[in-house]
Amino acid sequence: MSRSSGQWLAAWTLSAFVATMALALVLSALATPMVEQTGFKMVHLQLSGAHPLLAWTPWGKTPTKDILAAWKDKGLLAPARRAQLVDFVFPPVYGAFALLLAIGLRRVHAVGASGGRWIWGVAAGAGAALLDECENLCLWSVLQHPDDPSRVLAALAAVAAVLKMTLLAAALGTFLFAVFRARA
Amino acid sequence: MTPSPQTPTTRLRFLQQWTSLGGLMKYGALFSAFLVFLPLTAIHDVPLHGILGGLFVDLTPWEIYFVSIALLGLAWSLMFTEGLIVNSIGSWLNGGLAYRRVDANNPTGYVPAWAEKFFSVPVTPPQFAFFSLLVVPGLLVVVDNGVAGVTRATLAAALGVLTAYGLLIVLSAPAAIVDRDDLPMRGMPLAGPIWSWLTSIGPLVSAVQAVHRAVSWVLQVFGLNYMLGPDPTGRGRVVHPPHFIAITNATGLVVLIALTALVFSPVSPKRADAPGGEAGTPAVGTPAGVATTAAAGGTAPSWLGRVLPSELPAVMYLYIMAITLVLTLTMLQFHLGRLRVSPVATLVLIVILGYGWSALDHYFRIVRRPPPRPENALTPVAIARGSGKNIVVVVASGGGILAAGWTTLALEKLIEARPELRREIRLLSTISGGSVGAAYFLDSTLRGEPPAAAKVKSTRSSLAATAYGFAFLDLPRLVTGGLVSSTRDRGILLENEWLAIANGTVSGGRVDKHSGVLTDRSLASLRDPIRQGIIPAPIFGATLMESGRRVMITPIDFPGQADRRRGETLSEFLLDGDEADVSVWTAARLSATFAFVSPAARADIPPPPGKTAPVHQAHHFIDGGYYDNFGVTSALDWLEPVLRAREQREAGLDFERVLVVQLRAFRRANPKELRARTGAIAALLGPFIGLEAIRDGAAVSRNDIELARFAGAWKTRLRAVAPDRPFDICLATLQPPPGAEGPLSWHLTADDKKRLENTWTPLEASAVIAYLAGTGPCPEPVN
Repeated sequence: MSRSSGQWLAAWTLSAFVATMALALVLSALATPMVEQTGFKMVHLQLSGAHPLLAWTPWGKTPTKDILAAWKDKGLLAPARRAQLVDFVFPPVYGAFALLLAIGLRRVHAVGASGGRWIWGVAAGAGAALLDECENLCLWSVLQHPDDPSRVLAALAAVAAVLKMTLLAAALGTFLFAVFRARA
Repeated sequence: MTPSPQTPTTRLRFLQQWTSLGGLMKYGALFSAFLVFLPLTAIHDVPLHGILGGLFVDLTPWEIYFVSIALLGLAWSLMFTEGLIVNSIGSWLNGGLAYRRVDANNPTGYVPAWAEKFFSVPVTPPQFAFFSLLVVPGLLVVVDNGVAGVTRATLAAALGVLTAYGLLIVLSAPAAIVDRDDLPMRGMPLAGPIWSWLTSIGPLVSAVQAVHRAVSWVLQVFGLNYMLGPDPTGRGRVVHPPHFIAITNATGLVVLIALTALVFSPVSPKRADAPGGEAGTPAVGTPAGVATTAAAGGTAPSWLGRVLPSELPAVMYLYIMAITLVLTLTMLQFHLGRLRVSPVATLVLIVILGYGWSALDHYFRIVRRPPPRPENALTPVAIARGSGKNIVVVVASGGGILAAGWTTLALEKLIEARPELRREIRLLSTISGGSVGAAYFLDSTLRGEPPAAAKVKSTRSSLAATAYGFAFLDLPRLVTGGLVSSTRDRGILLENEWLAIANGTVSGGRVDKHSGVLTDRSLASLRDPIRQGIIPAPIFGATLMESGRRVMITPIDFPGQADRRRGETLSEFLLDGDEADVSVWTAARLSATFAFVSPAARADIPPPPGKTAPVHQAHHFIDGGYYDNFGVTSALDWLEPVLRAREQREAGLDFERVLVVQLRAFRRANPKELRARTGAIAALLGPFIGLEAIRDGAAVSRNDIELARFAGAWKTRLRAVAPDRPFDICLATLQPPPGAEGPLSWHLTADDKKRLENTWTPLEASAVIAYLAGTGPCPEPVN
């Protein structure tokens, strides 16, 4: 690896990290009115299509229609759509961060004694981003028809959301394991 | 323990390296986060939106141009300083030189190898790209929220970016000229050709080399030899190019900041006291600045025939402060880090020693006068006389500029609906933002302006003036321990700005400020118009920092000075016997000493010749909201003697109804609906959160109880004394509808002003009017 390419990798990884944090803050702010006025977060909508299968989780207790009705009653559909629109930008950013982090960690590990292919598990975050975009498309369609949301699309969104969370958890677990195994 | 490349690799070393990196870059990380996240406060519901969000909104193209330069100035200051700090690890580890060229094959091992390569000077394109990208959120926010549309805002931002880049190349040129083999920035567009061209100018090269040697000599004199290396020409030791570039850039930034301070310095207005002070009682020991101050400038600066804006936006000064702090903290970290001395501890020590040695403080101006003659005293009863059937007491709460706007809006709407209120409102007991609104209302009324003018003036932002004072007067004073000092501070600049706005002309919802002589009003000058019923009497509530006691800043002469059952007036507290007169704007500022926006200040009272001043005269005044954010207690202090006089059937007191109207810019939250804190927060911060909550909680419950008891007791007493004379006390509250509250800051955007106008509650107001007209009952109390 040339010094220059390594520096560019560091620059883009750090930039993607900063952008991920900034967008997370913005998304959290955009979702605040829904949370404060109805108690439903965007994650409730994401998992609502799997109701009642996921009713045992804190976020899967309410069906899609009820969440949308609550938001409609409070005039929150427009803010929800705006939050959903911005959510389209989020996955490419955190996906890029996960991918760049995986490449960076692979290189750092290559310097030390250990390191292996398992470290690419951090890049599972990029796979999660792809699923997140699928979920976003489904939810966008659901939000366009609040009175009669498609159960199929809501269910697809829930499946994508569950897989996304699983991959994100795997990426985080791999990252922590990589830190534990790291040698300077 | 000092790690070295020879230490065996361990897992802990990896964590050690990251921890060391965090320790080295803590200030860089903090200010990078500031750079990225602060502009995001312009988005609704982002934390701190209410306080800071408005700073990035409604900027003109000129302002966007300057803000873009400031954003990049901060980003690139971080780039250079963090690079030099990581480069200087060698010096920290073994006391060697404070610069080492990055050697990919021989890292120090103190921080991760990638970080050692990435954060460095000379600056590389990836490093430059990363730090430049940090300003993207800021640029997007100011462009998207610009007042002149996205196209013009984008052009202004682009021009700002180009200007900043040009400045960076120029400021880095000296380092490039002295060592063509070790350029300060590599691979940057335009930089190479420009530096090559500059190197071909012989006299310039000679001059730069002379400066280089001079700087090296200065560093040698101060014993900073770790910044020096061998001179390539073999003539002694010279400063390393990376340090030279830091010195030229820092010097350039300081010069630019100083120029900004000079060009955009707020005008010190010529003042003329309004007539109406206590005739025949000349001021004693008038401090400079009260009657008339020297004028400075008064017109907008111009450059090549183009008129520049006369003031920069407050956010610009915020970034200048950040640049100052970055340069100060990282410079201290760079030089003291090798000795393992904390920069923050050093700064605190400088402040304590410097302030202690120079006895620096923040002052407000007072005029000492003999007390008014008894026949001229403005007692509560004298104010109440001639009010007719109704006496109305308006109590205006604090809450920043929104409270100022809510106070003037309410007074405008109420007087519009019932013109008799001009005489019926006999007292304005106000706090913080409410005091600012009250000051504008009084001043506008005396100028014969319609009440709407006071509303427009009170909602005009004055934050730029105080931000200027913070950036150029108070922060330099703080970090130098008083070495750099001025007689002005941000509190005085804030007063001047309010005075200038008050003297301005309102047209089309805007205030046009005038240069020239501005009419100022002292509290004493208000006595005659109050007595004549032209304006109500004000009580501006403030708190004493040292004792937490309440002080009433007012022209009212309360009877029974020794009566400790009420709060003291400013005169009673400061000058036992004499009158302490201040400008209306000083009174408003002391009442509205919003935390850190304006400084805690003490009275400027010279001690008597040959004597030391009493210790209490050095006590500091802070926001009235610390004691009672609603102004109720002072209103009761005024009502008590008035009602006692009516009980004793004093002449001229014919009122049958007393209405206390509470103006609250923010609704009280239902205490049972407040979000519960987590156990960890309660364990770590519980006492502080509790103390902060008590500030309002104690005042709210105390006020409710006192008001109810006061009203109940006096109704019973007065009805018993004179059953033939009807009497009632009514308590009403006017506040925005639920969810309509605006920001808690000192800056309102155009949208905030529209929202404020739309939050007026005509139904509640009409109930108040009906009660005063005798056609309706007292409105139901609200929580």
